[in-house]
Order: sequence, then structure tokens, then C-alpha cells
Amino acid sequence: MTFVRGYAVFDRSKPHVNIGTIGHVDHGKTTLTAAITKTLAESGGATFMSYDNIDRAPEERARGITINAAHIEYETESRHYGHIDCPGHADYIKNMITGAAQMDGAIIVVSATDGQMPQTREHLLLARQVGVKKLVVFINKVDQVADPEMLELVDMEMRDLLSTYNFDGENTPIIMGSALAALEGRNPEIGASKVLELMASCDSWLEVPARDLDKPFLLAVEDVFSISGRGTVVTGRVERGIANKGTEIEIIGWGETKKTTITGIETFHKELDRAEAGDNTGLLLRGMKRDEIRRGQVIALPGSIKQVAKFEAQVYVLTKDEGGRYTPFASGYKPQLFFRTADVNAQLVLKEEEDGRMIMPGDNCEFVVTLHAALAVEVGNRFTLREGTRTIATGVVTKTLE
Amino acid sequence: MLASLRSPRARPISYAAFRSYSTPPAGSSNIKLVAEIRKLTNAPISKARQAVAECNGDFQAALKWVEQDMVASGAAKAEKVKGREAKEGLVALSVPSNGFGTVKAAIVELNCESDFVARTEQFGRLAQSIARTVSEHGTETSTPTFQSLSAEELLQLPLFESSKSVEASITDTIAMLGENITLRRAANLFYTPEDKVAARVGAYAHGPPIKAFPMQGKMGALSLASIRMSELSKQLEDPKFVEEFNHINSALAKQIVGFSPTAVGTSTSTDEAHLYAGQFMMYGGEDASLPVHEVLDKWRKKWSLENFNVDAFLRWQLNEAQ
Repeated sequence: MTFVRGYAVFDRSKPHVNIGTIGHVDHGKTTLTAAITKTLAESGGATFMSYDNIDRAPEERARGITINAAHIEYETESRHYGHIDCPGHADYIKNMITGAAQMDGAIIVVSATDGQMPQTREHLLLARQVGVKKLVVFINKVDQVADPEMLELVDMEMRDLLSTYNFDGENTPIIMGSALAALEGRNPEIGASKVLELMASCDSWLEVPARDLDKPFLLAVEDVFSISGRGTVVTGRVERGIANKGTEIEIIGWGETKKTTITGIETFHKELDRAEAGDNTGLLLRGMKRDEIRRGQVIALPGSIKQVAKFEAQVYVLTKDEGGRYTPFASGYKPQLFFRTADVNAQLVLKEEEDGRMIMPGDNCEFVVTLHAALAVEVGNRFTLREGTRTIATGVVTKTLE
Repeated sequence: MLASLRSPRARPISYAAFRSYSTPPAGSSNIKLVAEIRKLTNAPISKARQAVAECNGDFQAALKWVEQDMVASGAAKAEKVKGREAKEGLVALSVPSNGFGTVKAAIVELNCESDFVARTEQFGRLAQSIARTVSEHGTETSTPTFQSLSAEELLQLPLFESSKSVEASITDTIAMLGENITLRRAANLFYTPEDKVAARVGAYAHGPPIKAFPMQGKMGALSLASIRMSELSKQLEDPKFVEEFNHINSALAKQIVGFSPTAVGTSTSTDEAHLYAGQFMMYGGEDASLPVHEVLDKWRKKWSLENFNVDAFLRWQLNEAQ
């Protein structure tokens, strides 16, 4: 990112939620984003970002992929928000696949003068596709519409459209205001107060994703050692959850499942009582031989994760400028798949097989992926595909199959 | 939509307090008309409302008002967005006549500002109609080459199966979608081969956003191949022959999109940038590992053709440097 961060000090103990703004170029998406930072800056919850600063949408690279996106952060009384603004559909999809900023919710911006437009449905379809389950609507430029019945019509049309695309049309908060008024510090009844109302709706309507610490324990096995006199130790990073000495766990992956107990936890040669998300740690496991555990398996709370050899995924194929392939490939392609600490042969078949369709660098496609051996896989897991040492694609699991 | 309009919502909206300002009873029936007009025309809500007001609630008159206003407001909108960068959009192909006789085919690039708009049905339909228009334009030739057409001139043509010009249709779409839309470039094939020669067009567009319009995407190619033989007309009656010929042609277009060759090349080409020298991956089957020219040669011999070659091709990609 090229722009300079300000001095707002954020309270990291607040729950964090990522939201994105989606809307037509003329409907005031960027103005609204600027207005949010301006309004929240007054209570110390943001650093004001001007329209130009946001509009520049700097190019960033995530997992080697070029994405146009502006990132902003701010906080309300109860939450800390990461806010992402992308110029197009393709950038939001890339963002989703790479996980650069997983969108937990979205603000759809619609101008009161135009109402919903043909592309508004594309905005909603996109929100669905990137996994947004709830969104908040901001009807902008209400000061340019004199007749309140017209605003009512915009409201009704939006609710109908939301329902058509399986959002909760009845209960989705729709806030009507003027982002420009908020930005220019005038007419607070349609300006600043509406922006605050919008943020209050985000606080109450959008759901906080489960924190890593609250999820069931999982550690991806990086290495396995045999320590004489003690037993077998596996090392790796705790992806989520908490485990204590004495916790019963399962070793899952490569088609095998074994149960045992953690008898010791060690981080940087210090004996600890517990391991938690983010820790690089070593786990001493009861009664396991070194050759019974392999890299690519996971240590997880029993029953918390299943292993599958087949899943659906949304995949982005890197362009040659991003270091990817130069040439297309066909459905049925077999690259090497890297996932957590596993490295496995995989086959990619297009989910919607069209007659002889080819896949080109730069494409986003939905594939059914079949692994050579079953691994602990969940929806939302990310992986890369390689040919030799070259990363040619990256993907996210959208559905597990068998 | 109407059902929900009829049932009053329990949920109060934030502007309900202003309601007392609105016109008495007539207002609420007007709002149904506005909603109906929007459904039919996609006109901005402010325009739909103005139409109903100006026409005193006469639905047909209001519809007409909106259509007429589209010309004026569309022009104003188009003027306003004119300078804005339009680098998203579609490459669209149209092949009304793919050969055996006169060949007619066209390729166009139509730009807009965001890929959201490029995915709408309205934009896709416009791109397809323009491509079709272009395929019917130009002068017939007896040389198998593409004609590059001036986008400026094309704007004045009547849009295919429409009473409006290409330009007016673009302006209407701008009014509806609110983004700058420009016709960047266009080319076509309008070619009748000489006696004993049959030509065939291959067409492939990559990644069509809408299933209803398969011939458009971020990139597309048209290829033109021809065969020569004395017993031509008899040969063309053999369905197996025609099927195989079609397969080769669509594989050629796909090969061109996939591998971006810079020229056709010759049977002695070794330059990988030449179509003929590359492995014919898109042909499929056992022969997919052979160079394109070998596959073509094998097929020529199989059907005892005097001649079989690729005459020309055109591969366009969205927003590429020309």
C-alpha cells in the first residue's frame, strides 16, 4: 500500500469484521467510504481518508496475484472494521480466493436518483459468490429526490431484489442519507447522523466471524521427531483453537485416523501447559511411533474435521505476468496441490463441463478437485497448485464432497 | 414486485415523516406506475417519476415519454461520461454465414467502465447486435482477408433489426447503465471464394459472462480456412466430411485464442509464434501432439483435397495495445 497511515490507535480487543463496499461508479461508493472515515474520525475511531486516497485503489500482490484494492480501517464503539473497496468484480473474486481480506459483510451503495440498476443484480450475485451472507444497503443522494414516495419505491425495489438473490430482503437494514453531506459536514440529519446509523446497522446486523481461538483445535504437522526417553513430538503452527496437556486428539490425513493424547507441549524449549492459535509449537503424543505420523496430516480435536479426497473449489489461474502458465490447459488437468503442509497429486475437472472448454491464464473457474489421498479439508481452506516450482493457480474450497 | 407493492410494509422507512408533503391519494397509484415503468424500461427512478407526473398518470403516454426522454437524457449522460476511461467490456463475434458460398463474419470490441456492467444482459445484447451489424457491412471481396472498419463510420449504421443507429443504441445503453460505452474497433469478413474453393470460418470467444451470448468474452478469434478440389460440391454433401471440417475450424479458432500466434506461418515454419508450427492441442485426440500444419496435411490427404490451408485469422483481446 502506498498511502501513509495516520495516528488512529485501534483497540485490538474489539471483535474484527471485514466489510466491502459494492456499487455503481456514480452512486457514491468512494464518497461514502470517505464519509465513514470522516465521521468516525470525530470520535477517534478512524483516520480521515480523502476521496482521492481511496479512489486510487493501489495494486497489491497477494500470493503472487495482482489485485486492485483500497484497504481502510476504522472502529465503532463495539467493533474494529477492515474495509475493502475494489473497482471490479474480478478484483473482489481474486480477493476472495487469495483471502487477502475475507469479506464478512458488505455495504451496497445505490443512488436514490437512479434506484437499482441492471448491474445492481451483478453486485448482489458477487456478494453471494464471495460468501457474504448479510449486507447493509445505503441509499445515497436522498437530498436530490424531493418526493419521499420515490425513496419508498427505491426501498421496496431493493428489498425485492435482495429477496430474489436469497438475502433477507425483509430485515436487511436500508439506510437513506447523503454521503456527500457527511463528507462536507453539512445537513447532519441526512449526513453524519445517517453515516452513524449505517455503522450502527453494521454493528448490529453483520455477524462477527468466529475467532480462531474459539474454534476447535487444529495443528498442521510440519515435522515429526523422536526424542529418546520421551517419545514422538510433532511440530507445526497451531492454526486455530486451544489444546492443553491431556487433551485427546486425532491425527488425520492421508486416509488415516488415529486417536491419542497430548502428553506434553513445548514452545521454544519451554514446557507449557497449553498451545493456542498462532503458536509454533511441539506436541508430545502418547504411544505414537515416529513413522506413524506424517507431514501433511493434522492434529485436531476428535470429530472436528473430516478428511475428504474430493471437493469443489473456486480457482484463479495466474497470468504469465504473475509468474503463471503461458498456455491454456483442459479440464482433467493434473498439477501438484499444496495445502497446509501437504503436497499431493490432484486432478481438476471443471464443475460445469462445457464441450471442450479450455482454461486460460487469468481465468476464474469452479473445479471439482480430486486428491490422490484424502486430507483434512474444510470449506474456506486455501491451496495453491504448482507445476514443478512454479505456482500456476490458487484456490479456495467451496464445498467438500467425499 | 407488484405483490409487494400492494402489501403495505410493516416496517416504517426513515422518511415516512415526510409523507404528509406528498400528493394525496393519487400519489400511491402513481408509484405503482413508476414501478411498472422501471420494470419495463430500466429508466432511472427520477425519470420514471417525471414521466408519470408529466403525463398525469397515463401509463402508455408515460412509457412513450420515457422512450423519447431516453434520447435527450441519454445524450446528456453520454456527454457527461464521455471522457471517462472505458477499458472493460467484451470482444464479440458474429458469424451469420460460416462458408460454403459467401462468408460473413465480424469481430468487435465494445468497452465499458466496470466488469459489472460487462456482465449485464443489456451490455451483452448491445455487443452482439453491433457484431451482427458489422457482419452485414462492407464490400464483398474475392480475397480471403479481414477488413478493418472505422468505428466512427459504423456508429452511423442502423443497428441490426432496429430502427436506431448504432450510436443511438449505445447512447440508450449509456442512459440505462450509467457508464461510458465506446466501440473501440471492428473488423469483418465478407468473402466469396472462386469456383472449386470452399471456405469455412472458425469462431471462439473465451469466457462468455452470459450463457445466452456464447460468442463473446474477454478474448475472441475468427479463423478462415479454405479447401480446393474438383469434386467439391459432391464432397460437401458428405455429412461426415462437413462435421470433421467444422471440428477443425472451431479447434483452429480455439488454438488461436489459447496460444496467441502472431502469424499463420508455412508448412516449414519452426517458429512457435506461428500457428502452423504449434502443437495442435485444441484438436484433441491422438493428433493433438502434432503441429497444426501436419494435422491439416493429414486431413487433406485423407479426403484427397488439392489444397487445404488457413488463409487468415484475427485474435482480439480486451483492452490490448494495438
